[in-house]
Amino acid sequence: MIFNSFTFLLFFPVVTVLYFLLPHKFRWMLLLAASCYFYMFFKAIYILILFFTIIIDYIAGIYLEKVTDPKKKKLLLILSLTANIGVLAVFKYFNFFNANLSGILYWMGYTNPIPFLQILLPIGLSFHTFQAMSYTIEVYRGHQKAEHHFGIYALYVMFYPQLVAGPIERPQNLLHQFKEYHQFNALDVSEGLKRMLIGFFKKVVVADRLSIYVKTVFANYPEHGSATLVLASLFFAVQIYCDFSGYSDIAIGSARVMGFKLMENFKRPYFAKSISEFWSRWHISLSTWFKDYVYIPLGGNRVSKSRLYFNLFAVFMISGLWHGANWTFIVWGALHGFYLVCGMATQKWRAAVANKLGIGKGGLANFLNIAFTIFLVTISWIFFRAVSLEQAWGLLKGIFVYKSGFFIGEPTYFLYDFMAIAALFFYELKQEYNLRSLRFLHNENWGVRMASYLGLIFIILLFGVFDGGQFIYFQF
Amino acid sequence: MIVAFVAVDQIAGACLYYFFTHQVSGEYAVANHVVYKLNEDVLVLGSSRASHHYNSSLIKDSLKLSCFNGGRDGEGLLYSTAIFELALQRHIPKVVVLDVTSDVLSEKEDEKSRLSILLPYLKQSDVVGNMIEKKGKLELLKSHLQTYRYNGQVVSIFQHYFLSSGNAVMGFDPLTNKMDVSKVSTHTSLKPYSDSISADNVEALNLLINECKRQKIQLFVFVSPRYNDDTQQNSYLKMKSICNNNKVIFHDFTNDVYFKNPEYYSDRAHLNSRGADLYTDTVAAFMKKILNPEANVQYLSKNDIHGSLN
Repeated sequence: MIFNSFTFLLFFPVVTVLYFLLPHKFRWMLLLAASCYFYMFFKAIYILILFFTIIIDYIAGIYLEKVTDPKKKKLLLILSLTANIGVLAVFKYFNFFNANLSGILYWMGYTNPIPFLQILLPIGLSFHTFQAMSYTIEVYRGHQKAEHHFGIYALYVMFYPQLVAGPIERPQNLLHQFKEYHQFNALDVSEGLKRMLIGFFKKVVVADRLSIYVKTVFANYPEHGSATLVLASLFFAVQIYCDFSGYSDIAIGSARVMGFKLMENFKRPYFAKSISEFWSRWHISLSTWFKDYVYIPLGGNRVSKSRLYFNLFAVFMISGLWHGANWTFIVWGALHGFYLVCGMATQKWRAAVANKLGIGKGGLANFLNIAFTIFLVTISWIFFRAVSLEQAWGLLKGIFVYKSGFFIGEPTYFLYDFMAIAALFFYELKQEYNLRSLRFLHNENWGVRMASYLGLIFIILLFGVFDGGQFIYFQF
Repeated sequence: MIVAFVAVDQIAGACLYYFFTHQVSGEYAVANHVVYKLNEDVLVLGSSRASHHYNSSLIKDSLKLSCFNGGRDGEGLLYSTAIFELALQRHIPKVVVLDVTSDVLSEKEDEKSRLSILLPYLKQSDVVGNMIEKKGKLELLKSHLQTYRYNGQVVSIFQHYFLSSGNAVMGFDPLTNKMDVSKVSTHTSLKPYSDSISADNVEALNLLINECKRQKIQLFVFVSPRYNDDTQQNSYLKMKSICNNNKVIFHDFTNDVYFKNPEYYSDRAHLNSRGADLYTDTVAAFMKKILNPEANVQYLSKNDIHGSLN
């Protein structure tokens, strides 16, 4: 089931009402059943994969707590992680590595005897696998007690709001919430619904609206002029942000309605003044996951400069591979690693040059830094969006080798695109600089608040794209 | 809050309905004419190739029958059948010209999602509801929201209410540019006969044919000229067979040598106004031969009229 479907608009209130009507001891059952139903809407049989990792990690967690011998503990952790990564390897990466092997063997004059798997990638596999892994790692580290209630543990992995596209939660934040009694709280309901509304706006009014232009241009990029390709790339940068952060908003909001507090996943990333700041604002639950479980174990900042650069680069390459089994994602990750390493290596030099030019501080410096960060991120998104490296190079060539012509498409849709971006920019600006005088959904005046709710609902109804389909990040 | 929502939805929906039905130009103005005002003898249905290829005035002059072109860019049989059913609610034309593309019966990814454009006409006929239901079971439920029916149309509605744009006359929308032949490939990228047939499109074609039989409307099914040949499709064969089985007059102008002149085209799938006028003369002569066999009409095509006339 996807959040931007009409089915979800029926599913969500039914589950929420039942949740509050049920006594606390039965609520986990309802949420688990609802989560199974939510997941099985995609491909029912794949729930068995989820159950496989849930059972393994549940047992591993209990034994990790019981066992005192560090070697045995480590072995248990490795077994649990291998099971999780094994599932990812089979369902997500097998065909990719096999295709590359085929290429290498072909080049050497051999034929690859290993057949390809005829399987579909289970939806959100990387998300719930990483969430499950964070549980066993935290139990191993002693930061989290093992969960003995199988149903509650299963719910931790399967909680429907964040099951298929995060935020990737940590057990310390989420597990205990399933055991707490959540009384109906008008503030939670109101804040949750507002957050969901913002999420729907981002998804159907901005992301899916922009995707029409982006899809048209990217599908036929050799025919388009440079300005068109630049605009489509910028549109995609906004599209992917609204698609993913819109999902996170709906996830956080729908959990909040029932009294659950999920971690924030985005903090207006396009206001970042550097790539490192961008990553503290973009997909926070994943970047902190990599920081906690990959970057710090590799030595973090307490290593030599060259090792630090290597660590950063490696983490981002892995992050790229996490997103998808395609060289485009690996290049995307590598580009971000490269940006970060370059940023660190040239930090002092850049500051000196900026100071000499008199643009080291102040509004102009901020603006230039934001613009340059957006430029770098947008270049990387081209690899993320492209279906092959060839397409990505073709797009980059189309942008940097000038070609005339400008494509508008359907003029009214083009106008909607800019209206949507303007509305989003206004909202983000207000949030970023905390412009309290421009409050709408949180205005103290009841009438303004109501008018804002209605206004936003009707904007979604009148300008939203309701056939936009799945969220981009579901494929990961 | 819910009461306010319902009230605003009803009021906004009523306002949008007013502006929607009073548009003076644009594609909906053409559709509105078919649905609310049609009183012409000949109705042309189809996609952009219909709206750009059939000059209503020339048909009127030739056949001495008034004509309206109800073709619409990007639309297929589901739309044509729905709009035809809507037209029949208040007027029965004598002749219907259905312009089809070779892939008209092929399964297309976005064809059903495009059916939302019929939402404003939902209350006019059950057929519209049935068509919209093909998009999804819950689509009709959603359409209870009055504003949802005008989703994605607001700016266009106001634009075409306040501003008269375009050069369409009686639905005929001529294209004025000339195709740059150096940039056009005559080859199609489609694999021959690789398309799968859409059951919904077959059902829609049968519905339209049966309705014409029931109402005693003379139906012509034409494949209008195109610069490249794309007829190697299962859809094309199926369409021919349905027309033959139902004794519907079908004629394919795709490979008519008379229309292989690039000067007549706007792009490889569309005739420009010069080509459209020539084609309309040809097609009108063709129709005249059938509608009035006694008339001494010279058919302009250098190809023989085949199949359907036998």
